[in-house]
Amino acid sequence: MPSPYSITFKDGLYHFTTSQGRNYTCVFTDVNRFLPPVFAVHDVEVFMFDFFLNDPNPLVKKQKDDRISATIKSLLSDFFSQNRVLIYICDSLDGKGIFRTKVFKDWYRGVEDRYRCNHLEIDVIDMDPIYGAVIRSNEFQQEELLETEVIQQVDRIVLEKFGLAP
Amino acid sequence: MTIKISIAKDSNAAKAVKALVKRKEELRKAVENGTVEEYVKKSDIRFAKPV
Repeated sequence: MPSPYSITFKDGLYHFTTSQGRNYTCVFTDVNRFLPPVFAVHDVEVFMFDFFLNDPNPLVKKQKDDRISATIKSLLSDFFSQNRVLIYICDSLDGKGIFRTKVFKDWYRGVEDRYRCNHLEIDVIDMDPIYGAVIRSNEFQQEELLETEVIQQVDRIVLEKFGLAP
Repeated sequence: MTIKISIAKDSNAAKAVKALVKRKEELRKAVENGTVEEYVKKSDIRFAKPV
């Protein structure tokens, strides 16, 4: 397996730079305050995960770099504990949604014996499909809570968190 | 297990999804422009250091 790049943390964001000069930023957004208090009672923590590429030379063609996915996989693997849930949404605004989905599914294939996952496929008329996932450790004990308070109410949570889109 | 959701164009769920996508676009631009600190203050988003 390729070795991950060194990751730094600053102002709430995780950063790494590839050997070809591409800058990646990863972020975990805390969504716990939008969830019912019962989550805190059970010490369950829910985060959303995003990662972004900032390429200072986007016109220069880059070679495939397996260390990028290795780095993101490493960060995600360090994230999980018994009481943590991760929500990951892939959008296609920059045309790289399929790439992100591929990286995520590649990561999950390697760890599916350790984590449970609900894959999401959301089709909204007049938008590109949106892919996502809700992931937790096999040791996660609050499946019913997660199902009734997060998976079944994801639209309400998103509306409360981000407000109505124009 | 895969959960497949089809959402009607003008439903609240569609608005929620569009709001989420809009937020991701804003965050991506803030990262690219180096204005994450201002974006976090404006949007009241809380980042975490869970790792």
